[in-house]
This record gives sequence, structure tokens and C-alpha cells, in this order.
Amino acid sequence: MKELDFSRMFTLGQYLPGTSPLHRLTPQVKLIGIILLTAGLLVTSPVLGTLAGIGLLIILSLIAGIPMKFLFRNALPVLPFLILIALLQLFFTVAGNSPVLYSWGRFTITGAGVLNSLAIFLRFFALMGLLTLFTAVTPSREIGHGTENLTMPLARIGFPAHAFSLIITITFRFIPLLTEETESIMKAQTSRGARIGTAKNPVKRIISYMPILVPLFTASLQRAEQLAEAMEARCFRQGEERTRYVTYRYTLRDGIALGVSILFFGLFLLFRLGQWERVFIQ
Amino acid sequence: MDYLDIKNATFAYDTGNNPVIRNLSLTLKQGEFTVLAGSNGSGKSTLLRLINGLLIPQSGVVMTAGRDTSAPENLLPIRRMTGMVFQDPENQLTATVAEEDTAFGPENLAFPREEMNRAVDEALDITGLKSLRKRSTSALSAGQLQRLALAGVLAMSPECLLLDEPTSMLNPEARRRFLDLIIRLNREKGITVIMASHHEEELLAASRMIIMDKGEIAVDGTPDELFRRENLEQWGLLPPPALTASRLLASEKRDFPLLTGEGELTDALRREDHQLFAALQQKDPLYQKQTLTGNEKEPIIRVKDLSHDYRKGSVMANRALDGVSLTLRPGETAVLIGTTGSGKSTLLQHLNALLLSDGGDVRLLGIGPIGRDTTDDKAHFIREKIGLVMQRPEKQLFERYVGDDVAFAPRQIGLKGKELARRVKEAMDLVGLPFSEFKDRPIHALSGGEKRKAALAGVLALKGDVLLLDEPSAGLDPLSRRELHRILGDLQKQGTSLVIATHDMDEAALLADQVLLMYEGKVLRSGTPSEVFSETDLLSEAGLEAPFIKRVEAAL
Repeated sequence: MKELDFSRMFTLGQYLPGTSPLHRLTPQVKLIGIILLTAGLLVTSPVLGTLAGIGLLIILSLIAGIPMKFLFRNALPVLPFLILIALLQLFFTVAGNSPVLYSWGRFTITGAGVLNSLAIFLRFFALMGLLTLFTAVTPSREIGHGTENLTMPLARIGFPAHAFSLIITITFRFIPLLTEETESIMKAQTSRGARIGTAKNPVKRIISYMPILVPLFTASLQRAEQLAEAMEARCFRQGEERTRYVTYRYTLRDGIALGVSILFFGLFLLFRLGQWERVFIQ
Repeated sequence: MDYLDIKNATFAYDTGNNPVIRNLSLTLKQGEFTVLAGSNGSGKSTLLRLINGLLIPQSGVVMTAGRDTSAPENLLPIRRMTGMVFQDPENQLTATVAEEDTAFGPENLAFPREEMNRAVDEALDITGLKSLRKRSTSALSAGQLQRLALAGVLAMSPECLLLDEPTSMLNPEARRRFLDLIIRLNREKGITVIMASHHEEELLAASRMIIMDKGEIAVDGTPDELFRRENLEQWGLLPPPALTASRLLASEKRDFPLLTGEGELTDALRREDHQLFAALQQKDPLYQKQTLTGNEKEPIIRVKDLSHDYRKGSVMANRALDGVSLTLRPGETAVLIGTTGSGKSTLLQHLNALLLSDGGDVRLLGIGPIGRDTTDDKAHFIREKIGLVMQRPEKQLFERYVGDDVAFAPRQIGLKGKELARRVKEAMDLVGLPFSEFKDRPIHALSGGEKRKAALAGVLALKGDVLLLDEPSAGLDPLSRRELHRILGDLQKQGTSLVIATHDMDEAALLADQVLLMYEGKVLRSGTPSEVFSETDLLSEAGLEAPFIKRVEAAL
């Protein structure tokens, strides 16, 4: 028998309160930083580039005072799939001029294959660690504030910067509530004998979800309506001038963080363009 | 000066059909504390929304603070001066940090920096949330969230507060605290208060009471005067316990005065000799209960030393149950009392095999210990025999028609045809939704109380031996609550065992054979109702209050 306790299933994206220099960065800088570094890691060369990324990650986690273990704990459930993909890469990478390291019947392991499967691991851990680190030092409200501050210049050409950030904040506020609601509806229907998603017949399986989906939709719509009423009652008007309770000031720390992010973004690009890893393949 | 002046207002959600407010006229003075009473669906909430212009009447005029709500340019000043707090604390907050939510109104009104800080500080101070200002809203209790919602309104310095059943989701201590706050704001700051409520104590706190019925004002007067009316039940209301008690006392001693307030009653009783109070005690269900020492049957539920952790292994881990034990024999009723977060719901879900224990021994219907090796078939068997009615069960209704929804569970266990129809009919008749009349009613056309009954019938249709109920009467009007207690009483007579979680102490006193007082995952005290309810200090430590009769006894 399986247990119906959602809280044990999801642990991703947790904020760890702290006062490290990384925690205290202005939200806009944190956002720009994560965008630059993620983009950089996605395009950089598979081994040297990602190794540099992991190096940076180690330094950042030391600054933030967050153990590496925390950053990679979320990787565990995905690990089996990762290993499978890496093995496929190892055996099936076809590279014409890459040296054959080992051969057994139809299977050959080439230098390029080793490199590719290694890269999958490195890139995955670097990205996963970076995103976990970001959410660990950034409370959800700062993501809202940061987005608003970043998109503010666009407000002049009609972009609804505040509404956009409000959507983000409200989403963060309501996700746990909806998770809770789903759990309680699932429990209620299970205790009424519902067997959800266990039927073999796909049509029956979809139908078996109705006792959860219908109440969940109804409840979400009701929540949305109540929230809209409450916001209106508190004088919210779309697009009107408003002031801000929380404001941020840029400090030297932010400048340095921005500089480091740009520097590493450049470095990641350089690794890609430099193609120094060919040495391993040829 | 009149703060509010409504003339012949009519409003229908579905324009032209079924008006929810019918040709209603009403004036309210500045500084008055008015309560709106009446059954679920009588139009209280709609009336409140007409006052601050969230809804505009289709005919007639609503003038709030001297401004017509139908003119769009008036809405902002009206809403600034007339703040509203809604029923569900969760659904009215926009920020993830307490103080940022308080600032939402001032931000919208473009308060300058200094003024905004002052307004937020003051609002958090009055509501007693200053120390929690940096807290994440998800880490606040329902009572704290509701005070935060009030703070958000107070930060705009309103002249009037509209409160839509603001305490119906709070536990007794939080509810009392919220009410005291409202009374203070009314008396000390002169804020006009208009509050919809079902709760007698809250209704009695007001200076004026308006009872609504089908969108009209049925009666208008002081609470003390209206509660003495003979025909309260037609409006979903019941006399306050003090009045019922003093009527009983008057039948014992002819010159005993009829009083509505609990304080007045105890004052009057102090002047009488103790015999009279003893007569009152004798008639109370709490003292009529015999102890269940005679029941030697094999227990159907046996829980020993049960613990449960949510989010186990993460930074957010919290212990919801800690060494809880419970034994229930056939035909008994156990009532779990405690505030939100005391572990009542978690315990109930263990009794339905929805959660698995981290430590301890759970045996249900002789099966067990329940654990990961319990087969799915056994779990389904347990859930068939031990029904669970979750909190606000009307949320789980999903079919279009009442009959189909009630038939869902029996259909899942393979019942068909006549047997299925018989089960559905029995369950619906039992909860007071006659099968012939209600089976083809669309669910959305039911009132709040009827939906609750339909959801209850949906579990009863399994005809289990045990029924678990989580806060079964929360949010119901007094009459629907009494109706629910009648249904549960019928089930007890039929021999069904019950486990009920509640923070309504009078409900516990009425139904329980044994009471478990829970606090922060532990059972502080268990025993017969009169044993547990004599522990007044322990009760208040756990955020609860004693039932009426024990409160009077303590005051004497």
C-alpha cells in the first residue's frame, strides 16, 4: 500500500534563510546572474566549460554557506535515468575520426562517447546545483520584486510590469495551497473507494481522474474569484500609479556579482568557441 | 450622520432571475456595531458586497459614506473608507510576507514612503502581529492570517469595517481574540462595524442585529430583543445557551429572569442557592452520559504510541503526531478536541489507512499493524468499513446530480441496480435529503448546509461500521448544526462507532463517550467528557474553552 502524503514527495526549490553576501544581493542582480550563468552553461563546451561552472558553483556555495549535499539532493530521483542516458551515449556515439578505446562485437566505445556521457553528468549537476542554489538564497517574494524591477523600463512601452510580478508572487503563494487542496481531495475520493489512475484501459484511466479534477477546478476558480474580490476591495486597480513598500538599493556587492556573472558568461562562450576539447577526441 | 443609506436595492447574480437581495432598504449610523444574521444563503454576504460596491444593485440606490456606489469614480474612496475582511483567511492575501501584504492597500493608493511605513506599523501593532511582520504567510495560523487580513484593511485607515463571517474558520481562542479586537476598534476608534455571523456570542456583542431571510430584512432590533423571539428557527438561528438555560431555570423557579448573556446568567445564579445550578447540570447532556465501563467488546480501532512526521527528512520537517494512543470499541464515540494543527486530522487519516505510521502500532478492524506491507485490497476493505468525512466535505462533490454523487462510493465497491439504489436512498433519507425529492437535483443548486449533507450521505452510503468526521459542523448555521447532531445521534443509536475531530466543545460534550484533548501532536488528557472538561487550565493552555455548562460552573 502506498501512502498519500505529498509533503514527502516534493522537496524542490527550497529557500534557506541566511545573511550571506549571496543572500543579500539585490533580487534583480540575482535574476540577471542566474539567467547569464544558466545560458552560459547550456552553450559552453561539455567538459572544460562545465567543470569551470562546477568550480564556480563550489565557490558560490561556500560564500552562501550552503552545503553541496543540499544542492545535489534533488538529483537522486533522476539519477537512474541519467545513468541510462549516459550509457546509451557511451555505446552509440558515432564519431568517424574519434579513436576507438574499447570494442566488443558490435559495440565500440570511442573517445567522443566517453566525453559525451561524461558531459551529460557534469552539465546536469552544474545546472541542477545552480538552480537549487538560486532558490536557496532567493525567497519567492524577491523573484516577484526582481522581475518587477527588471521589467520596469518596459512599462513605458505599455508592459504591465507590476501585474506581471504580482502574478509571480500570487503563483508562489497559491502553489502550496493548491498542492494541499489536491492532496485533500485525493484523500477524500480514495477513502470513498476511488482507484485513481490504476486502470489499464486509457479511457477508463482518464475518467478515473475526474473525481479529482472536477473539484480541483471548481475550488481553484472559487479561490481566484475570492482573491480578485479581496484585491478589488483593497483598492487594487490595474495600470494605476502605485508606490512600493519594499525598495532595494544597489551596493558594491551587486556590482561585483554582476561583473562575475558577465565574466563567467564570457568564459563559457570562449570554451565553446575555442574547441580545445578536440584533443580528447582526435 | 448615516454612514449607510440603502433604498429599495434589488440584486440578482443572474440578472432578472432569483434576486438574492429583494427591494431592501436600510440605514446605519456612523459608529454603530451591527451584525447580520440569518441562515446560509439568506443574502448576508451579498448585502456586504453591495455596501462597498463590489456588487452594484440592478435597481435601487446604495449610498455608502455619502457616495453612490453606482458611480465608478466613487468606488475608490468608498473602498478606502469601507474595508472588508472575508471568510477564508487564505484567499485574501496577495503577498508571501506578512508586512508586505499589509502594505498592499497603501501601495495601491500610492501612499508616500513615510505615511506607508507608519500605516503598516500601526496596523500590525493594533492587530498584535508586530513580532510576526517578517514571517512568511504560509507559516501563520488561520487566526493570525485573519488578523493580518484585518491589518491590511486597517492600514488604509477605514471608517467602517465589513466582516463576512470572519471567524468561521478559526478555533475558539482565535475567534475570541478576533472578536475582542473588533469590539475595541468599534469602541475606541469609533469604527463602524457591519459583521455577518452565525455565532451567538458574536451576535450578542453588537448593538444592533438584523436578521435576513431570502434577501429581505426579516427583523431588525437589539440582539437581546431578537434572540427572545419564539420563531428563531425559521431563520436558521437558535437561542443562545444562556437563554435556553435560563428558560430551564425559570421552569424550576418561577421568578428566575430570562437572560441572553452568559455573564448576566452567572451573576443571577450567584444570587440563587446552589440547588438551582444543580438542577441545570442534571439536565445537561454532559452529566447524563454514563461511563462506558460495561463495553468489553473487542476494539475495532487500536492505536498505540503512534507518531507521524510531515516532510520527513527535510529542513521543514514537523512532527504532527507524537506518541498518540486510542482504543475504540464498537458502538462508542471518541471525540478529538484541539486547535488547528494539534494533529486531529492526521490521526483521523491514520484511522482510514491514508497515512502510514513512522512509529507505533495501528490496528483497524483487527487488521494490522497497518504499514507498507498492507495490501491494497486490505486498505480498500478498511476504507469501505471505516468511512472518512473530511473537512469541508462539500468540496469533494463532483457529479452533476446529488444521487450520482452519493452513489459513487457504493459503485466503487461493485454495487449495482436495486442494491445500489437502496443504499443511496437509505443514506439520503438518513441525512434528511429525501431521495425522491433530491436525487435529481443539480449539486450547484443546493444550499451550503444541503451540500454538507450530500457529502455526508456519500460516505454513509458505504454503510461502514465506523465513521470518522473531521470538523463536521464547521461553517454551518446553528440550525444546520443541530440537524447534523441529530443525524450523528441517529447513527449512534444504530450502533455506528464514531470518531469526531472538532473544536466546538459543546458538540464534543453532546456526542462523546470519550474525549481526547490534543495539543501539538500529543494527547494531553483523555477520559470521559466530564473528566476532560473539568481540566479548565489544560483546556485554555491548548487554546480551547470549556463547554457552556462547565464555563458557568467555573464562573460560579
